[in-house]
Amino acid sequence: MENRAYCRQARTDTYSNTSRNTLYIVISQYQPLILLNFRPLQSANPFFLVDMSAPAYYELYRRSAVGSALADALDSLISDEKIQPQLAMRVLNNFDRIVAESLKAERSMCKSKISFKGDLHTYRFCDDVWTFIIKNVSIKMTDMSNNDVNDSDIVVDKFKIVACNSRKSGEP
Amino acid sequence: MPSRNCRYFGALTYSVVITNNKLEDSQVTDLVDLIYSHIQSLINDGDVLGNNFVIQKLFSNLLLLYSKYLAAYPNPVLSFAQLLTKLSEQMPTLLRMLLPVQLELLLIFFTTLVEDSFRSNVNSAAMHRSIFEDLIPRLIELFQYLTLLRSQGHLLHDLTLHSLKCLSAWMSYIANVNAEIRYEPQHIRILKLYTFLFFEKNLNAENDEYLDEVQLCLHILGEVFETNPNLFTLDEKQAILGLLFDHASWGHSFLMEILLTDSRFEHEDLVNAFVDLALYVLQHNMIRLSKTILEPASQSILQIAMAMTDLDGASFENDQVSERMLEFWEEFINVYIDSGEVFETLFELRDDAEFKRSFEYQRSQILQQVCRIYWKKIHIPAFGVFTTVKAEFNSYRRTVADFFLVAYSFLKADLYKLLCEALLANLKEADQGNRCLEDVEATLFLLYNINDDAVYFESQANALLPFSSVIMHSSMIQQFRSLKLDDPSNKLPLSTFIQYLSSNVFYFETNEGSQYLGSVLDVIFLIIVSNDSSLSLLASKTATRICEKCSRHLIQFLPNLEVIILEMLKNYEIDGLIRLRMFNAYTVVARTCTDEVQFAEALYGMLSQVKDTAASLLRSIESSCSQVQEDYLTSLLSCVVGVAKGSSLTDDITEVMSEERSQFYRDYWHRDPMEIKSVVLSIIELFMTEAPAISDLPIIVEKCTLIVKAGFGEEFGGPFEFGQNTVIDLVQNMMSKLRNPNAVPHVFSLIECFVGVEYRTLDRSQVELLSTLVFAKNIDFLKSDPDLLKGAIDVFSKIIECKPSLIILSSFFNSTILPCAVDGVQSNEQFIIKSISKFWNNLLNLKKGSREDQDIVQGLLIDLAWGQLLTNSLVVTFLKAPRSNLDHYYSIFRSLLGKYPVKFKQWLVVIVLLLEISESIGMKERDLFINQLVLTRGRRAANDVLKAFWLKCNHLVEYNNQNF
Repeated sequence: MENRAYCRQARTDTYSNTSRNTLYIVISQYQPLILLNFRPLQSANPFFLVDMSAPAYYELYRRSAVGSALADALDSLISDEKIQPQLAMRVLNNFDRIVAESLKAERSMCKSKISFKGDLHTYRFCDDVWTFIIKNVSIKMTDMSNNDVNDSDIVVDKFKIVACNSRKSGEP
Repeated sequence: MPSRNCRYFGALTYSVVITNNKLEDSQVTDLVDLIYSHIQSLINDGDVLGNNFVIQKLFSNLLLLYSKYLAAYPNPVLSFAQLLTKLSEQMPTLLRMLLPVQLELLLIFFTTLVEDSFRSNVNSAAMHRSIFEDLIPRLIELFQYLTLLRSQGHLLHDLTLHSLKCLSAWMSYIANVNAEIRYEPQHIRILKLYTFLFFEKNLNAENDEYLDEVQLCLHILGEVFETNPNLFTLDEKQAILGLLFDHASWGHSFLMEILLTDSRFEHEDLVNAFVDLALYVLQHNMIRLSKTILEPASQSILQIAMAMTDLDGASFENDQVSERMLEFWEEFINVYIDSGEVFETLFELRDDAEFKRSFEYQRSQILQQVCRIYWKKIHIPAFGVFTTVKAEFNSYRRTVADFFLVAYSFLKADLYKLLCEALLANLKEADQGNRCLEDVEATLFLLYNINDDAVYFESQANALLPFSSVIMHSSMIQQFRSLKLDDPSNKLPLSTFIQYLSSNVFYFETNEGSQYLGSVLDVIFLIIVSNDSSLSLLASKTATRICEKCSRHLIQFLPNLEVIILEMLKNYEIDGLIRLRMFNAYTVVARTCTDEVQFAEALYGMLSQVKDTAASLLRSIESSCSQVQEDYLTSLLSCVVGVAKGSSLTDDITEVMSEERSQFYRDYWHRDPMEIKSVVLSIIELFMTEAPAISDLPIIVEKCTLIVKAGFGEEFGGPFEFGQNTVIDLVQNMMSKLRNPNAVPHVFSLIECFVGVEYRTLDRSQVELLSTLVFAKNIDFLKSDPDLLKGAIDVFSKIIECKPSLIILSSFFNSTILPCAVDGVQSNEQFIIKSISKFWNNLLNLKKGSREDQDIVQGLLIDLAWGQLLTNSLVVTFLKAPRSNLDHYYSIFRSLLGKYPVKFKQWLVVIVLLLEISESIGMKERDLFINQLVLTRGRRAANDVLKAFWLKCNHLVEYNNQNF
């Protein structure tokens, strides 16, 4: 029983949703529902050098509703010859930066927390990105901003987390 | 004189020229000279500060030139210094010739250079090499000179700040870069030494200028320590540790004069910079520190960490430091949890029982002391203060609770025992009339968080049972019962108490714990009926949980519970959610009875009361009802939903049911002697047909469908299992009356659920009947609203997914559903495209289809030409679709490619070659696209081919570099 997956603390950055019995976090190939941005569960080797060839911020928020809408709007502007594609790329780079910075824990804009327990089905750490798939998950969501003493609990069959280091390389 | 704004736009124009043009080397040289002349002229104006933003823009232009034309403009710093001095000497000589204002400009130039490089994400290896070979040596020379000036006391404060800002920007770059060039500690020795200079003299807490400088130094060291600590040598790391934590060191003075005094409120940024660095250094030394807790040096460091944690005594307000220190303490405990083997080896090597005992004792003392500090900090502040800092306080104590969970995972029962003892001592004091509610609340808060977390594992629950027993045996319930419910200052303690009771269910489930259920429910119901809605809601949730988990012990309370719920039914004031929860809780307890007759009587009692109350109210309503009446009626129906959900047998129950008992249960509900099913159906009928004022409301329709859904899939039948034909009749009735497009999707959802559960026993005639009565008869109505169309498509998608033969042979499928599905591909709404995509994927893949089904679908697609029509519609719509919708189309393409590769290519050729798209996409490119797509054979690579073609047709570019 005790080999169950357990992650206590994660800050939900944007919004949550359930799809049937599966709750996806961040970006799955098919359905982006919650975007998470939290520090690795265990601190990685403190000596990690950074690949300067990588962009400075993760692009994962581009798959959120607001990111998709922004990309569509930029496409329209390019098609109408109002802007150049290079400008659109700059706008999206700024979007990546601003969203990441705005959602930082230390900005205290995001006061919601979730905790969850379940059976760890898959985990991997690749290119500084953790992926976890957890089954039979009980999730507790607390919104501290509204001071309500009532937490909301949900149970889902499957829970996918994609988590990136909130201190991305190159970040000033 | 031209305005500064004009000048700025002039500088901006250079940026555009440099960005958008490819320049010859000679043009680069000319442009550099031109920009230099502008800078010179701005400097000569005499108002360098005022012109600063223009000068910085010109600096950015020089960086752009440097990054694009390294060969033509190889060493911008040296040439800029030469420009300033009008000399052609080397850097060390030039530096000595610079006036302070020129030195300041050189520092700004250096800073802009590296900051812009970061911002524009310049990443060529040549650029990094050039920085390493040409710029870093100049930077070192500059800081050698600045070190000299500082040691002679000739460095002005402004220049010092500029130098540190410049150094901060460069250190950030150096710590992060990982191209071919790697920086070693010796490469930047001078730069690090420069920061150390500021800690040589004693701390002067009164000198603001000095504190500003020190803040920047701490920030620089902190950033390097965090990002790339290997840029420090071992000696340097040791020196920083000593600097911060040694007795009589600079850090000690800082602690005494600023951090532990009220001065810290005046120097918040400085304190943060110090704490950041201290945390990085502590975390870096974590393993060593945790292994040497018996050594005086480590004890001294831990005492300082403890002092930083305990700032401001018991108060949490304005105390960001203790929250930051949680990171350190969590990691400190995690070392002991995760590196158990390291400590085992340590004890083996020492082979000294006394050492081991002392070590473990010391470790336990440290952790308990930290726990005590945080326990004090999470005490509720005075009510007046609390109302102003609620959100911060809640957030802080949640973080502390997380820390206690980590502490518990290591200290286990020791910590729990400590908390229990504190709780019991406080309760005893309270018995004697002393007010210590805050202490009790803080402890209960931690206990319920630990309970919630730990009892997930059975072994942990067993370990905690004795503690729960002692707590429940105390006067806790009486103490909380005596609190005034209408006093707002009692709200948080009461909510913590309720949550503790909820977390303690693992104890109430036991025979020993069940003796407290009466008094627990008593106090909970008292809170439920109070006027505080959020407390009532919380208490109702706890009551439901207790009833669910402890139902076998609660059967004796059924008569009392019945009185309560019937009272709640009549009381308009009760929140609908609470009423629903209580009906559900009562049903769950009643369901536990082994006697079906008793269960049926309980159900009949509730349902007949609901029916009578609703009927009486509905009779009094003529054409429309008030919002209060509407809410109440909805709540009555919700209660039936609660009863329906509570009536279903859980897996735990069915697993232990004997054959004989299950047979009896099945037979009983098949016979249904008390006609419970009729009562339920009559309630639905009442709401759906006899109350025109509300029967069209989406919420009413939703609740009615939820009641029916609750009985689906019951293994042994049950009071809410109505049989297939009854459900079909019900759906048909609903659809014949409903004309509110917002309510219809709930009926479709019911059909979808019905098909998903019953498809094995459903036959084609039933589905055809459903299709005709629900869909064919209402087709014009359904087409009038995209939501309705989506709902209908979802239903057919579900049928195809579960048992295709139920629908694909129907003439309605060919004549109506397929045209709708092809038209749906052209929809603009994402939610429809999603459903359509699912429909086509199910139909094309036919995962549960027989060989015969496959042939039928193939006939539809090929012989009846639906494949060509779908492809035409798909390709045209895909190319016009917005980027955010593309993902939904990929899967249809891939299913077509995977299932009908040859035919799909033919269909594709027909439409792609005829497409009216950009002239730039010639026939050759179209052929190439078709061939590339077919080559993927429907694998994931097809997405890339489709995306590339979409981008080309729309003259757009791919924005993303990363895939998750």
